[in-house]
Amino acid sequence: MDDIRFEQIARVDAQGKACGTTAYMSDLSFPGMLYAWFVRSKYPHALIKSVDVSKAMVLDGVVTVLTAADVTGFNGFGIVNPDMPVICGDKVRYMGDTVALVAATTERIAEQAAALVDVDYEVLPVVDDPIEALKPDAPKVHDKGNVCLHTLITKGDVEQGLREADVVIEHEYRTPRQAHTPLETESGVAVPEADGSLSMYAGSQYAFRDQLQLARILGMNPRMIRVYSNPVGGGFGSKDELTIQGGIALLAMKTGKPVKVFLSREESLVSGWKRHPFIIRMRTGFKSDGTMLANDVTCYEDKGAYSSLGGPILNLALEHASSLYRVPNTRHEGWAVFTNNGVCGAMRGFGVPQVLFALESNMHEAAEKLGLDPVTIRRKNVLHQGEVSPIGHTLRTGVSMDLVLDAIEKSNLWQHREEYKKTDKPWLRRGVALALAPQGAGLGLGIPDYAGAYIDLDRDGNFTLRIGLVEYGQGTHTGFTQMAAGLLHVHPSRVRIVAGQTEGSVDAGPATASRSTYTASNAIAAAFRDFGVKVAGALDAKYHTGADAVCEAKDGGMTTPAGFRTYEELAQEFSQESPLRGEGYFVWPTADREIPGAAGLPHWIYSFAAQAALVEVNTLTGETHLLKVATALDTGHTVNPQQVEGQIDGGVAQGEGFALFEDTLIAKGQVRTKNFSTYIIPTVQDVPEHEYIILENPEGTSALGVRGIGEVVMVPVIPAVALAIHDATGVWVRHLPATPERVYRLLHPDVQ
Amino acid sequence: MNVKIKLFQDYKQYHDTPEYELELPAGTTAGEIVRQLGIKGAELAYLILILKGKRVYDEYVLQDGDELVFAAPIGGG
Repeated sequence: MDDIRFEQIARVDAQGKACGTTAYMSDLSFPGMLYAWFVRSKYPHALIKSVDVSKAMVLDGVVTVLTAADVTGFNGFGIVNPDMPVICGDKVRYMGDTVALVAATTERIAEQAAALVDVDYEVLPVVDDPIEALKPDAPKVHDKGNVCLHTLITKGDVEQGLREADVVIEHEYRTPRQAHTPLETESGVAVPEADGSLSMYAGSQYAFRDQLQLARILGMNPRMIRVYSNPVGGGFGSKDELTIQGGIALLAMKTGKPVKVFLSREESLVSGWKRHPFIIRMRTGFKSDGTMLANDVTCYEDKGAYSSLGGPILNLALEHASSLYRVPNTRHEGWAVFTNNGVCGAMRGFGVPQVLFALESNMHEAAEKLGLDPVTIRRKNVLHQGEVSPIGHTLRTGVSMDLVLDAIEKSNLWQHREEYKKTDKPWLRRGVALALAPQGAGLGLGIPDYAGAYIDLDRDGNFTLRIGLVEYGQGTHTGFTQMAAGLLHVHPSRVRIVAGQTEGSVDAGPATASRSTYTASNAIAAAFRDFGVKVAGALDAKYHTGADAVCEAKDGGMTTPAGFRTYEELAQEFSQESPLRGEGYFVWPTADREIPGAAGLPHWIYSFAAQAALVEVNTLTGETHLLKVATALDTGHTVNPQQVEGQIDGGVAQGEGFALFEDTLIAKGQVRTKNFSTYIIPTVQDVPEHEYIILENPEGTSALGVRGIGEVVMVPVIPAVALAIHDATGVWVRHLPATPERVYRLLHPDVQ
Repeated sequence: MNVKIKLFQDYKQYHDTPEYELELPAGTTAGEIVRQLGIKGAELAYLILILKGKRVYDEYVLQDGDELVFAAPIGGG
């Protein structure tokens, strides 16, 4: 399949989205539909003494009000540990907790009824700092304590390595509570069907897992629940975990009517998932020639109130805490700690942006102290295929650290950085810096990572590709269509895709972890191979041509032992009663050794990117602008160049937000940044000029040579921006985002 | 017939070893193994069964040489 050609097309979802005709879940309406309102907690930490819904129930237009006692199945959800109540019964742990659910004939009545729900609280002290939360006398968020997960990974002797080092860089770094801010907030409609089943229409990242989580909550057979996750108005990880689905499902089953909810931006920012803020203490030792000798890392992850994916995120951060550099002595320790600071879960990068901000900063400072070029020190330490990682597993496939580093060194921005740094105003300073990142792809060792796909030859000779993976902006369904079309030797317009839903699709795992493109490449290729076998079998049954005969795709049909047949001819013969179906399944390869005590580690495949950033700092105000970014990215084998550039554009913007603007401010458990007036995200006026450098180092374990790139494109730009501020001004930014206030105080430490 | 069972995550607690083999009579279903292990409650509700990358369900009739994976659909990064 090395010669596969991906026909370039516009996005398969472009027309509907560009013309506004695509019906998102928040656009849906059903006859007799009710509207839900989630009654949220009044306090970030409190015991619930009683809940009185009597006044709300009698309000005209209210159909039902549910409390914890009304949950028909298990009152909890969570991808790893179901410790988040759908409706809290005895305790609230953050301001977004739900204490009751209202269904009414209008949204306005539901809101009014929610205000009539009378909850008697016993307020508890708030714990809002992960390090404080680890102290024995800290208020306990959960009865079992505040430690969600503790992981320690060691290799060699880190103290000995640090003693032998000529330079040791030691700092504490802090990262923001970034919000995902998809255009479409959490929303959906739950529809009870006449046969007692439920249809759930809600944007999410894994319909088949939502189905099981909902079955657990409702106490229903999962096969009585259909989940439609597409289309999604953006996710970035915020819709990986359940959001509103459990609540509206309970209301729909109770009332027997469709129930809809569409959160306001304020409610989304208070109750929704966020990126985990990290406090990172890092000591990194180098020899005088730049060789890394040791890295000692301690991470404190502010988990917020519930587990969700905080454990795997901490572990992935620890896997990447020394990047894929050659470090003989490492100690990576992490604590995921419960607090009353909202809830944190999956977000693009999954812990890697946090730790690589720290590591790349230490690396840059060491280079400066040792008089080395920032490229030279990285080149000295990057690992290659066959070498052992900083956490002890062998890198068996496709390591491109050196390739992306070489490419970024040759970029226009880096080569001409001194020219780019010139300004004509003395208070404006410009700087350029670069950074490098791997990003583990897939779910990692110890978590079964699998996928299926079907290729159906329809009655008219066209095809339907069925695969569970959700599209939430990445462009994957376009890419999957191109893959199937390329394998079948047809134009992509002849391939229809059914995906992102439990009905008529097949489980292919979650759309997370930079896994969709790679996973689909192998599942679709397997389905294509099986399709050829099915064609041979069908011909043999009719013409006795031999069941083992090889059928190969060519020019809109297949060469077969019965001669060349177009797909229309094959369909006429074999797909009239039911489609001729190729089924393909794929299981990810796993790394060569487990990391004791670190579930999900290590990874087998990584994505790789290097980025250089040009910033301009106003030294009078501290305001920083990101002017230009160069990205060197290994795609393996590019399926769709336009989508790759789109991912880079979006990733750089999200990395820019992390580095310069975005942070959900929470004080004593109360969210202070409840809308885009105070929670600042980059706009089109802020995004930089881009220089794209696309490398193709085919991934050997993908049938089509492809890699996932959705996360890594936002990672190196973060340290690159922080280090470019240093290049411009001389100050080191160790607490992100680098807001004007922070940069100003670094520039003018004596000003009160 | 011989079937290999592989237990992941919380399902490891249901057997002394996370991987083991069973000699089973023909016609044994995946659901019978689930019941033999005694998986109940929320853990049963969140259980998926996987065979060579394919989700199978309780009624699946096991075949000689099958490797049946018990797991929860948790994610990772």
